[in-house]
Amino acid sequence: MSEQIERLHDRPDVAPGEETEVRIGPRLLGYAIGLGLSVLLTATSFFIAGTDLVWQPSIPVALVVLAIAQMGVHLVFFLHITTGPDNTNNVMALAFGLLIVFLVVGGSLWIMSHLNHNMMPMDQIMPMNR
Amino acid sequence: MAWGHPEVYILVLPAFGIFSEVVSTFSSKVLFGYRSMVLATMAICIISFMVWLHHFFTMGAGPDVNAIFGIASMIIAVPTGVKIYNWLFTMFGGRVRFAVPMLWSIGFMVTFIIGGLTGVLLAVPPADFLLHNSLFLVAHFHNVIIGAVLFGAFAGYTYWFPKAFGFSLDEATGKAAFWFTLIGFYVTFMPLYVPGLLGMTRRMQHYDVAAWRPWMIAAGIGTVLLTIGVALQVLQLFVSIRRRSELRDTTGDPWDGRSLEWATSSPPPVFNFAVLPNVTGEDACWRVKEHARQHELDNREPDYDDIEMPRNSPTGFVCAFFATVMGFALIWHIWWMVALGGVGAFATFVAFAWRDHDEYVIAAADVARIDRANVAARRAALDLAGVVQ
Amino acid sequence: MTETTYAYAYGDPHRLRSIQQGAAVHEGPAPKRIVTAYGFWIFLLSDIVMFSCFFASYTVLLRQTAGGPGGAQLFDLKSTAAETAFLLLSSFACGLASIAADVRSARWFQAAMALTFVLGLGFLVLEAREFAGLVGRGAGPTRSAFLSAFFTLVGCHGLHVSAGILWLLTMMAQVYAKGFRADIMRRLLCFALFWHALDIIWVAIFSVVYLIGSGT
Repeated sequence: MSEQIERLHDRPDVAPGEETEVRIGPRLLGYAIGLGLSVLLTATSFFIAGTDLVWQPSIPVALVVLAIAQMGVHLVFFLHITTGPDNTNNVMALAFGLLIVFLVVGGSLWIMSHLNHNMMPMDQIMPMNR
Repeated sequence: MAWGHPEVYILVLPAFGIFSEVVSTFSSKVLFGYRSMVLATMAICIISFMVWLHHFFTMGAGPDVNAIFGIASMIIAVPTGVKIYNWLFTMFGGRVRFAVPMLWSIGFMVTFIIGGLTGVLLAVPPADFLLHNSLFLVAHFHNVIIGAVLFGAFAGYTYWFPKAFGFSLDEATGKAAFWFTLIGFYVTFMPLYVPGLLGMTRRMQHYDVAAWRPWMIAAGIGTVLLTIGVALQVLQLFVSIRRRSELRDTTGDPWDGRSLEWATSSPPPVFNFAVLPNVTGEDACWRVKEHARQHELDNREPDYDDIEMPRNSPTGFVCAFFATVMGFALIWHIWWMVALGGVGAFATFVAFAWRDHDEYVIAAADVARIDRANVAARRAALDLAGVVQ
Repeated sequence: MTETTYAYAYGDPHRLRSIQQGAAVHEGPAPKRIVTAYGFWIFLLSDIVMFSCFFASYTVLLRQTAGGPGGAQLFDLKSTAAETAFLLLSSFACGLASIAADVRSARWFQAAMALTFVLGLGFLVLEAREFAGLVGRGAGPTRSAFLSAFFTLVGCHGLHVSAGILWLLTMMAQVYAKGFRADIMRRLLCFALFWHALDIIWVAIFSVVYLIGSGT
């Protein structure tokens, strides 16, 4: 009975298309490119946050765009999000998660700013509490 | 609140799933509009994350915000309506059997529609300004939750009890429990809409308004009926256990079911299916039964093979116990207990990860022995019923 | 009408079989590795949703400093840059560990994991020092709504990194004790996904909290 279990554990656990032998070179290159792009995007973010060379009101937008780009780099190069058929479920799960993030963050910001705008100023509310 | 609304859909969508199974089985018809059911469910999943502000229309966000969330709350009724129509069309033209699970399903359809309609009324922000946190709201959400979630739970409980425990539930007490619960629900909650419209708020410890009194008394009478319904539901279990030898499910298919669980014995063997079935469409069991005469004539045994089963482990419970201890200690700032709980949970987790044997094998001979016994029992029961010559 | 009723008995009335032909053609359930990875993606999804709630709270409370210090007064961008570098390099080291595991080299695997551990620990030490510094200056989580939201969001990320460190050490021990068994390889895959996801969340944190926050 234990040899049966040994057989279970030794059986290669690969997906169709993954059975070929692993070559280090391309994979190492993938991680290195990911690292390089991330360093570039991070350095750019830090630079833009501190510089006077850019129109100031655009800085938050630029930082968000750079952040999204870097998250994309991480997803592709480190987390191996691909368009392969075995990856489709993962992409769908991620897409749904992102939808929820935008709804929750965007919706909360929108609602709270409206509520804030419609609220009486504090210096008129405080006297009512006396 | 952004979670609070999706939560009620987490409650209701499994109940909808139960109804799809029950309605098609007891209408003796395949479920109408399978694809539209799937699309409707997905639409509800997405839209349910876009409605949460309807819980606080009165908080002062302004007309544009209120309008968007109000419209979304109304739109979500559309895919829900699609599902109701699909269940109705499943029944239409079918041979409907009024067994207890089907009674709960029909009760659900009527009750949930009324509750859903009052929900759409509440989704109109100006109406909600008057009805927010009133008894109208209380009546609405009890209407939908009891109608869908509770009735669905009872439908599923009655439907799958024989599969899980090997004997059916007593039919007479089941029907009595259903009628008392259904009528009790209506007598309790329908009157509550009126005080809501007359201005009664929720969570009141006492009230002084005479106009509300007749409705509240009617609701009180309804609670007596509901209590009897609950008692009958509990009684049903005791009666069924006492009569279990008469109620025994010998074939594994007490309802003439359409889906694959009814092709196993009741309760099923530990490996579920001796040979993995090859499924080519919906209502796979129905397909098998239609070709049953052909299968009888073939009378060939399948090729039995070894089956790998996961080994049971108490780790889940133990880890959860330590995590609960840790959570409790975090609330009350009992730091030594936090450490104890954390270490315990982590140690349990590592112990589980460290095991070398997470599966065991059931030999083909044992699979064959169990399966032959189940098939023989089913054949004997069908012979007795004169089904198979 | 009779034709359709008969069709129900035998055929495929909703044409579900056509879906099968489009799907990947191989018998039986998907390999365990694929299923495990998908399950872990769903967990990551739930974690991302939780962080989005903390992000939403933070951005709403950004200006509620209760007359106290705001981001511009409190954030030391040099420390933030160092934390970012540590976490990014640790992600790269984790990638090296994944490659080492795939070629079954125990030596390189342990080395890469040790590097990941050192860099991750470095991140935590810097963050702990930052938090201690803030509390010492009277800018702890109870000072204002902004600071409560800040400590909750960034602290939650730090807790995740700490849990990741514990997991990392456990995986190093498992590979040392039992080698590159199939189930241990699946766990390494999940660990790598977790570690990289934490770096993704940190990208959002340093951009939105520290860089945008230090401008207010």
